[in-house]
Amino acid sequence: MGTISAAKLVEAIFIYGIPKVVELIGIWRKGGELTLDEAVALIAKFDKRAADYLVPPTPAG
Amino acid sequence: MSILKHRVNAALALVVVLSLTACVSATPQKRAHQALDTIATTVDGGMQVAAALYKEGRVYDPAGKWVIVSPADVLVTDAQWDKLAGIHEKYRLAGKAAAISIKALGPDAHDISAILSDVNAAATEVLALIELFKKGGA
Repeated sequence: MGTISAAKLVEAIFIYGIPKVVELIGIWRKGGELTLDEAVALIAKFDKRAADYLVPPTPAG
Repeated sequence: MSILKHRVNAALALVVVLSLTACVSATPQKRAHQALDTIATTVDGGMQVAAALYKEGRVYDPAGKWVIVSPADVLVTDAQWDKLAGIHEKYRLAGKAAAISIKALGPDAHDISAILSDVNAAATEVLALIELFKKGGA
């Protein structure tokens, strides 16, 4: 996990105010969290068996 | 086989390490997801290559099988494909287990590399065998 130095945080609070900085930190943290849809989609990626790669050719035309 | 396996293993390990460290704002759970997703994409690409190699010298029979029509052009035998299918199944189950574990993790989980170790090892085996197919061995 990345970090923000205390000096930068204080500077941001001076510039943007505490509520805005809290809001930005919330967005920053949420952006890095795994969603349920992403987790489910990854599980589904492991449903494909070796035989599924030997798909028949699509009919021409 | 062992040198090739070592190289594939090193490359996959690098993928995992990069994925685990690259996205600084991601939670450990998210980074584990990204690493596993990268492995899945890599193996999927490898399997597509292996399938294309298997189809060389064969045509699709309406009965549902690929049959050999030009033995000289066959690059991957049925026995080799079956071997790959067995290894891939091991990888698939390890990957599914890892993906389920990641889903079950909380965003504050820390020990995520252990979840990926089995699937990483299995993916290494799959990719090493596909590399041998490409080199005309196995």
